[in-house]
Amino acid sequence: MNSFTRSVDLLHRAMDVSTLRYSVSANNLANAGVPNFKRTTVNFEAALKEAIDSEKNAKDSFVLKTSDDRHIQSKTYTDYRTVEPRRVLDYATTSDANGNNVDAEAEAMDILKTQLNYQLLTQMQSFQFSQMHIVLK
Amino acid sequence: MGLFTSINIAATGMSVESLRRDIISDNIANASTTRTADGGKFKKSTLILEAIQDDLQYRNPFVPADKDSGVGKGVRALRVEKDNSQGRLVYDPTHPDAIQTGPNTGYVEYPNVNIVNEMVNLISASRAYEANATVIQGSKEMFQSALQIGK
Repeated sequence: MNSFTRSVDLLHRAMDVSTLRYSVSANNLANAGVPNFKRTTVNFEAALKEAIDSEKNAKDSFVLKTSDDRHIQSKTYTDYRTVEPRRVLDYATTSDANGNNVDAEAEAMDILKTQLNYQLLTQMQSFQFSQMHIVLK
Repeated sequence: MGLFTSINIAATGMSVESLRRDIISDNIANASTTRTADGGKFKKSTLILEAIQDDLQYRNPFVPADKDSGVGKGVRALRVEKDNSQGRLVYDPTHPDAIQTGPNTGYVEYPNVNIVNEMVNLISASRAYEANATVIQGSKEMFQSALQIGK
């Protein structure tokens, strides 16, 4: 996998997650007045960073010798392409008297952040393609 | 998760909020109504909402992948409920609908609509409507920027 396809693939995944996060926030905001509704959040970036770090570590570090596959490995390598976004229901907290825990203002800020993040990702994607275009010209 | 999920979800929010606004308008318009077609007093209506979910929802973060029902589908109006509490009593024996018997003789029972509460609910309904409209606007801008890739 070369650096161009890798960047395009990573940006593609990040854009997918932004869209998912946007839908989740839209659902939270639409249900901001529903009794006993609990908000959902999306976790992705931390798991992605862990996978990318594991790739880096797998390259330049010593590995413990094990005599059996089931032995604990010193370094485990995770392919970043196997990392999926996780939706997490914040089921334990309550902030309103009706059991709802959506903070409409915080949700609106999340939506704005997701939107700008997505636009940044599209610009970076555009940059990747424009560089390829320069080479092809 | 489709391309227009967020727009569909925000649209359910907008339709629910405009229904809420209609109900509030009805309450305010009938704030001094003393007769209704079915004979009783006018009582204020309240909108009951629920989240749209087709499948069972698990209230924990460790849902098995095949039981996962995906991102929610938005909100819907469950029903419109009448609040049957006692209305405000105004002493006016000459009114045709004044109470003729019992301890409240001479009083007129007006609807249990509190205009101030209704106005506050109206503001929160229109703010929620605006928030959902902003979500749709934001989705549109996101798709527009995605279409600019490679240009």
